[in-house]
Amino acid sequence: MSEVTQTEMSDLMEASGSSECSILLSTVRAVSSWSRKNSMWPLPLGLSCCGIEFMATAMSRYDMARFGMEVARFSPRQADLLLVAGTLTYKMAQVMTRLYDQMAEPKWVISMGACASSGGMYRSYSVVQGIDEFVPVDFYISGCPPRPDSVLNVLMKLQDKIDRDNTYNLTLETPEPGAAAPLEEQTVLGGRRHGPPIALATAGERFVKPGPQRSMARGVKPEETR
Amino acid sequence: MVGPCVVTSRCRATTGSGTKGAAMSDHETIVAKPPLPTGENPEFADIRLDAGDDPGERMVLNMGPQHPSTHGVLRILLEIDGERVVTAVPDVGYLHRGKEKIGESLGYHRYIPYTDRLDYLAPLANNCSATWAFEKVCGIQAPERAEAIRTIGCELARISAHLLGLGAYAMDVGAMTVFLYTFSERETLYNFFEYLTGARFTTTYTRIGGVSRDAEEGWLKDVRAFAETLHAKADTWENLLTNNRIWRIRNEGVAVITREMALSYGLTGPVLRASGVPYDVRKDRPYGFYDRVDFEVPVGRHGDCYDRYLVRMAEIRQSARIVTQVIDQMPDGPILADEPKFVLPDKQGVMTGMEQLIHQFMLITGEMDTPKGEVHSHTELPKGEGGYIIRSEGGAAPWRLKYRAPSFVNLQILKDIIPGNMIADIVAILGSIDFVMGECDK
Amino acid sequence: MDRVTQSCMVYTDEAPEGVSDAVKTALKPFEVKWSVHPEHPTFGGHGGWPGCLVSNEDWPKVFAALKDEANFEYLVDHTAVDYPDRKPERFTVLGLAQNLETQERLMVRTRVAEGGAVPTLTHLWMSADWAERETFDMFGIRFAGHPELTRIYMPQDFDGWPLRRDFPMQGHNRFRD
Repeated sequence: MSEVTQTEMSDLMEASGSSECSILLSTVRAVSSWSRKNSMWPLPLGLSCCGIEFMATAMSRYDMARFGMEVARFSPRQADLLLVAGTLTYKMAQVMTRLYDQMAEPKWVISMGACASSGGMYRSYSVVQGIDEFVPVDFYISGCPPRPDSVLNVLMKLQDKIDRDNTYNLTLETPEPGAAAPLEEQTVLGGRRHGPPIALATAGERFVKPGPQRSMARGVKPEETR
Repeated sequence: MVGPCVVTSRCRATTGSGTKGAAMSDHETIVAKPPLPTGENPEFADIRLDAGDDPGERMVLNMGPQHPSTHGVLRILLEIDGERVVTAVPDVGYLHRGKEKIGESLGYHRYIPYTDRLDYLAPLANNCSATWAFEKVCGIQAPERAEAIRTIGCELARISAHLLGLGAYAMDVGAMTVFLYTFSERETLYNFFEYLTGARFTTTYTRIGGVSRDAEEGWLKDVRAFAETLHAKADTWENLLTNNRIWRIRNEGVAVITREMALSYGLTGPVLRASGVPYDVRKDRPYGFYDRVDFEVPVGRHGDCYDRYLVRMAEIRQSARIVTQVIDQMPDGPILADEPKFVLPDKQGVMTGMEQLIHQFMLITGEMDTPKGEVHSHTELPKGEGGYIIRSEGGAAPWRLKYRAPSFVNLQILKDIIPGNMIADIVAILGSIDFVMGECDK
Repeated sequence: MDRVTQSCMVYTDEAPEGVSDAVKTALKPFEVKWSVHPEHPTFGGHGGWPGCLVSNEDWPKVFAALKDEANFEYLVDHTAVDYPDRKPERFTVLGLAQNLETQERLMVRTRVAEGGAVPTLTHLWMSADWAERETFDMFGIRFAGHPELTRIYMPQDFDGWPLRRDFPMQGHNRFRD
């Protein structure tokens, strides 16, 4: 993207006829993370009691809609946050992994409650001792069930994580025909990203490469990523 | 659509024939595959539904276990002919946590937190039901004040469970506002539970021999005021639904359960009462404080979804009535029975005194001299008649703990009442049966 | 706890006090042994929790007699108890029936060995369908004549009978470390 020069800027301002400009200058990352974190569509996998507290979080008193998350999409194709609330059994684990696989990138997983995080109070023959045996988890919420306040806290932390983690690989020079796109294994904040980086490249266009993937691990201050 | 559905030659009547033979006679297409040998596609080695050699226009559809309106993890395999359901096979067990086996190893005192998570819409009712059963095993009786507080707790839990069931039912059918109203009300109830027990949701409040914390005067006053206002609030909720044209059309005449069917399937609770059987454990085999209060048992006439809804609304009002009466008659006295062989000592003493500490340790870790024998104790939970059969061979843990889950028994009727209805009716049926999978799957 | 090789229930030939005449008449043609709670013979308002022990063959007939003649139209519960050290019959199958008018309840029991079968009750009550499936799933007791005896709680390819006393609490799970 080319820089807008000062003269062009003032021309635009004159043309629009106002002293305030209706142009926002920002980075793609900031805008994309702002839009992603404020419009998360959770897939509430309300398996047991934590599902009820999740419903309470979404209702008027604790109101998850303030964060843009009240759109609970029960189809994994339309959701980007898998919120596992409740005890996962081996019989249900097949279903949960299928749901996780059906979700499109970028996706996040929150394990709500003690049962989802570690099997909880059920150390028995049929309970999975933590959903991270099957899916990678971004956040664990402890509690049996966690209060809706805890859930909101973690949702806000998730928003912060999206801010930090949101990576846009604004390469590339057009890849040679036949060459595979580079897939970088990234470890961001000690966890692994769900899937390959998003490549915003269309054939024939050239984007300026903004530099290597930024991450906290490389000592980038949080302010710089906003 | 008013009245029973039109019946085609391939479908079954909504009233259901109620006998086992007719359940599978139209289509011998349900194939429950025997256990697969290992190595052969272990994925989804579960109940399958084959549409037979020539399905024609029929399709096999899987509803759940992850579905917004299956009220938990219930899977229903549907064979549908266009929009109409031909066969329905419910598949449960997606939340089976092994609670009965846990009960055998942990013991009576340590089992009470697990009972919260059975019918997780009404944890206090489950706590009370379990401790009534365990007290029968030990042969002790809780003091009057504890019984009264437990009764209040059960009725508040019943109101809470019905409110959520109603809200979810209405939301699934399409009336989303009701969900918001009922949940706000439940938040008030959660405030009361938290004031009384310390936790808003999973309370673990009762103990063998009584309850753990006393109900204060302020709490009783507030609960009574709340119960008085409940009638007016129930009027508001009824205004939204009872004479709502769309609600009536969607629910009247849908999934009629006859009296014979209901008794044969062992249904209990509001589902049974809506079919005309006035069986309520609180009236017929009173326990707790129920023999000292005056309340009515709402009974329906037609046994359709609308009647089940009406029965639940009426039960909310009766519960409020019970609560005010119990508070007015609240006796004074201790909240834990004086039976040191079975009852845990007072917590203050445990934290400060050596003797009480040892006593608590012995009881919890297994030195409880429980009488041997078998008891069965069933109470009226919000979803139906639930309770325990406990076989005790002495010791602190039961030899066998069987929990009768009203939802497990109530769910069997789905295979008889869903066929013949449309897919959109399934949602109304599931909401009106109002089951909880935590209870069903234990 | 000492090893339990016998159940604690004590059986006699005399019907106890809590049992009504209608039940006694209905069960007259069968060979029935009666029991009450050994340590609380009259506690709980349940008249000592009367129960009876019948043979495998009589199991459905006893329930049919209770249902038709003594008006026990409601099957409350159905389960089993495992005594792994008891020989020859390891399991006791329990069925609790109730009369809705008089509120009388009777626990009927029968004993069955491992690998044995008990006749089904599904022709009497539809609720026996899933109840027997649950008992089968948890204990491995077969019910002869059941229309579709498959597992209900565990996945269909699960190996083992979870509620048997010798099945470990955490199962034989290959995923577990």
